[in-house]
Amino acid sequence: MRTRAPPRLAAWLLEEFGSSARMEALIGDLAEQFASGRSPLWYWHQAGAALVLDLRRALRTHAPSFIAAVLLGYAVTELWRFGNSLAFSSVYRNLDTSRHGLTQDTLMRFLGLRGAQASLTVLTFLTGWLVTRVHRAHPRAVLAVFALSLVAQRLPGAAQLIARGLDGSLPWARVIPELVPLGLQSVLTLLVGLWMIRREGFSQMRLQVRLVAILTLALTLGSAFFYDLWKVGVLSYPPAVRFPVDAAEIASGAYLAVLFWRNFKEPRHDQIPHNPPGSDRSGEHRGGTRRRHAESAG
Amino acid sequence: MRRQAPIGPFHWVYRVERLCRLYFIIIIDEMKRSREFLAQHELIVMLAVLRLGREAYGVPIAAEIADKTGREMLQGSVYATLERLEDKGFVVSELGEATPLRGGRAKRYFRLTAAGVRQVQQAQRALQSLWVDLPQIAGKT
Repeated sequence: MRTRAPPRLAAWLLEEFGSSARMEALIGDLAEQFASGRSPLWYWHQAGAALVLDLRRALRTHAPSFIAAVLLGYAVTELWRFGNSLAFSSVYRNLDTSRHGLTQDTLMRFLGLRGAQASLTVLTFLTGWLVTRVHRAHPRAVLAVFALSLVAQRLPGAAQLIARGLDGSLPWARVIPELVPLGLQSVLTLLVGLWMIRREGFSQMRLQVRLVAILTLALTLGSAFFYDLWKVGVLSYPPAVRFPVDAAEIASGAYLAVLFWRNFKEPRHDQIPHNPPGSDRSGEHRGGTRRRHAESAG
Repeated sequence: MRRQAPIGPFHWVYRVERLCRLYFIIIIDEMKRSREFLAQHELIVMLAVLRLGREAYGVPIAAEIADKTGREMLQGSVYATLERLEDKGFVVSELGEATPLRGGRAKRYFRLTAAGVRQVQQAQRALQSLWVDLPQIAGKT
């Protein structure tokens, strides 16, 4: 008989952002009650409350390091961006997308844009690592708050662009390329951070995940490569090609996130089963575990 | 020996310093007391754990509380309380078996430590002594 599976998104949120050491047991308890007939609304209510309680506890017990981690990540991001704008200002100045072929100037500008992009990629990895290092007690929660703060910081700019697109003062063909990278850094920071927390090597991933990861990477790098060639005027990169590639990039990134959720559920270090207090119960399901323990003891 | 309050323009510094010291003592005292005394829901969760014995994990604990008190306690709240009790050294936990019904996740069984049992006994004695000779509670409910 198939058991009722709880709402996936709620379960995923608990799994990914619950930082308490007891979260695995709590998710199991909720799944058990859901299977016995509770409603999806009940599950969402319980999951939401558990996350709020978890965050409150994290803030109460580790507030200084939690706040320090977010602020440090934020400060590094801002400093890095400022340094980037100084270092690559000449590259960004007077970009002309009308085609004028490959010259020494366009080549240098293209390399400059690539350098700026590489620098921002390093920043994504650095902040993801830094934030989870400074606040080790609740790495997922601090990472989520940091990524959300990056989104929140860019919301006014995004709203302004959308407003200009709506009133027609800026064509959508120019608004969309500005909006795509707005949230991309936050999403990438979150994904990179989660991957770093899990410490899973590429070779350990399942084939399907590896393929999607390669596809996402190829689309991201390829799209950025052609964008830069278009920005310096070497290549024509019309919206009819640009936007589907952007959409494919986002879709593949989202699918990768789904695969992360489905395939990367490994037990945490504190989930190694022991005999429960009632030793008479121990033989029911865990004969294998007991055998392994006996073997390792021997 | 009590310090003499300085006279002159720095008198207010002395007063602020004394006030700060007083607040500090109150906060520390409150923190100590919060560790010593059990909150009502902590006591309820500990009693549920005691009642369930070897079957005390999240689901039956919440069910027992709902059954005996008539109050539905959030599962997350049960765990938050148990975690706090564990930090205080009143409760210990161990992982049990994983079942397909739970999505393959292990149960976490809780039991009271000797210090936890002492706390419950103290709370019982305190409550019983407070009830003794108490005149019937008047008023509408």
